[in-house]
Amino acid sequence: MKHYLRGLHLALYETLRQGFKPRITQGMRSVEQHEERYRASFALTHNEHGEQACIACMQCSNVCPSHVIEVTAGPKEASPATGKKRGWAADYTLNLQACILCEMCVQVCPTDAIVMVKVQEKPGFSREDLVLTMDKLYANAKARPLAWANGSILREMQDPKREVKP
Amino acid sequence: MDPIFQPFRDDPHYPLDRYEAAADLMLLNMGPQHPSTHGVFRLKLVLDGEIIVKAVPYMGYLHRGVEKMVEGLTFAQMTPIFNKHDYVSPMTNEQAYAVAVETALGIEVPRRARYIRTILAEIQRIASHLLWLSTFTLDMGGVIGGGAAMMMYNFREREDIFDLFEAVTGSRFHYNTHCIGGQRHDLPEGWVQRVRAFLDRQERAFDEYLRLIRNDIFDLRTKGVGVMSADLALGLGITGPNLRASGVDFDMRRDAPFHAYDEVEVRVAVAQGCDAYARYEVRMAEMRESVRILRLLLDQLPEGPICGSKPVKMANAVRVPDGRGYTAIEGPRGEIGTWLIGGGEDKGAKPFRLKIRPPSLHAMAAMSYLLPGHTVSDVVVVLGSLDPIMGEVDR
Amino acid sequence: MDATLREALAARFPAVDLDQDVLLVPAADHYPLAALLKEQGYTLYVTVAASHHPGPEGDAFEVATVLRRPVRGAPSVAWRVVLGADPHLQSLYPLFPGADLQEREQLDLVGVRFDGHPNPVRLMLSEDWVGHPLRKDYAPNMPHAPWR
Ligand code: SF4
Ligand code: SF4
Repeated sequence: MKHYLRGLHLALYETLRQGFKPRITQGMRSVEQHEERYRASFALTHNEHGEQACIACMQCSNVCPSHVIEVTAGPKEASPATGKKRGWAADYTLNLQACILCEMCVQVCPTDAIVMVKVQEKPGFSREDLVLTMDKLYANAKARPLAWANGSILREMQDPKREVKP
Repeated sequence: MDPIFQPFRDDPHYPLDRYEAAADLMLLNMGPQHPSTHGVFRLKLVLDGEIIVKAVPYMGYLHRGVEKMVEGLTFAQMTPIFNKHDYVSPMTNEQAYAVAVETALGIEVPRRARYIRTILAEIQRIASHLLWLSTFTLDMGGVIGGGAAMMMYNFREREDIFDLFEAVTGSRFHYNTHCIGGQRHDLPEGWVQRVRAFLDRQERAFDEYLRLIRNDIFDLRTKGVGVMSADLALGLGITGPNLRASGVDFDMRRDAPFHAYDEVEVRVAVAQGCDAYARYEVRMAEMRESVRILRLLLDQLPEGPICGSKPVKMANAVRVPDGRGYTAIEGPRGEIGTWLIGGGEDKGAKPFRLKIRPPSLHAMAAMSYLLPGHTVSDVVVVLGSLDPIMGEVDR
Repeated sequence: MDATLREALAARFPAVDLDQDVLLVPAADHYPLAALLKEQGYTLYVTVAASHHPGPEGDAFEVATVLRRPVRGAPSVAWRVVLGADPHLQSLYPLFPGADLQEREQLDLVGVRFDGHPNPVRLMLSEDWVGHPLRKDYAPNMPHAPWR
């Protein structure tokens, strides 16, 4: 009985003590409150000439563990900006329903075309709402803050011969 | 405990008709969706009054066929799959897989990557044990100040840990931060200081936890409940804190060092009680030990590259030739092992057979040995003290 | 593998090549080997893994078992048994109670029967499931009876 009361007092003391501490509850975080590397949804980018960066190399759709990326390659044509021949993606869909946000597609993209953004997609009313079409992906790149990672950053970070900061 | 239950404790397949019941036997199905089973798990209890005569576990409600699925995935694609078995310690599961493939291929992991792995694993151990503590006290309900209050306290620290992981990997839970040969993400600037600050907070929090749960009721409900002898534990293949609570001084972190554990001293916590209280003691001591190891590791953290092989650029870049082997590391629940047979489809880019050794499935097997002779209210205490994660049991 | 264990194994199982990482053991030696290892202190039952190897001469199955000694250095012994088209093997349940659920899982998923197992029923899948999913001829993408 004595120990019981002692336990009760200790527990009550601890519970009451919490009332005098600063509040730790926090609501849903805004984009700025997330960590720098936070990743949530996807975007397709344009390269420095303003062309679509994706060259339809299919690496992202091959590496995706859930097989949710579908790339349709268009004919290979010369780029208007540089004159070099390169591939073009005619269509690109990413089905967010089964995506596990593993960042593998971002890591393998040789032209940093597919990247992630920091704002989550809104919940939809139908399954189609969660299928990111090419238009939605390009719109995401303009409207939402891009996440930290892209293919070159990730690959450079993992390079075994990376220069180490002093 | 009444000796008439002893045959059932020795052999769970002891025929029920040899038992002389004092009253009519009752069959009680606990689960599959019982809040205290930590997932979906069904326990068939044969009751004599309120005493359990026989307990039969049924599992497989969360079976997702991972072992079949990975036979169709390349090695680069499998890391994100692996952090979903044990959804309470994804980090160590990824590491178990990465270590298995690295051993098969003989890839050397750079020193910095090994340190980062050790640091992440130890933080994950704290997070996992915190979740265990909160659900354990929550299941027992009426412990003064424990119960749901304890869960809030634990989740306060667990949230800090997720913030730390998010800063490294960009994801709060399913990290995919390991690759074959090292890490995918280096530590960001200032992260080490944040971990140090967290460790100070965590150390103070331990005293708060103790003030909440150290009382007679907690002792009465846990002491002498679910006694598992060392022989039984070894024969069942129980590892990790549950084994050490049965008095076996064995920890893979010290005895077969992986990652960077050979460069720090690991003081293994052992308890001789063999009961639920001993398992509580071991886990609490392990959390404090993790804090100590983390401080050492952060002091020694070297600079250098974080990956020993070329970064993944193609899905089938990693190929494991025909051959077989077993590798294991120590996770928060015990030995996470991988039996890997290479040389599968696509010239070895996919595994031929990959069997995951889940520590929780072995712990589940103990239920039918520990429960006979206890009352129904002890079921949640025994189950909670073994700390099984159903996602890992069923895979 | 330390010297005393090596001697004991060489004396008892002369046909087994002890230099391999994973010993290849005839099916008749499976249980005696486990019993001998248990005597030698390998008391921690680690795992059992069965696999299906279809070949031109018909199906073959492999059952691998791992035991460990819970001491410094954590020495472990792994061995495998190759079985024919009708796979069955002596159960280790009398030696290691942990074999109960583990062998049931392999029976369920790969279809290797364990003789002397006290309760040989499926563990993960429902009892009326047809087929063994981890066999190579079990296609993952098509509906199998019972479809639920
Ligand atoms: S992040 Fe999503 S889309 Fe990209 S590889 Fe992973 S599962 Fe596929
Ligand atoms: S997004 Fe990148 S990886 Fe995917 S097809 Fe385009 S260029 Fe290739």
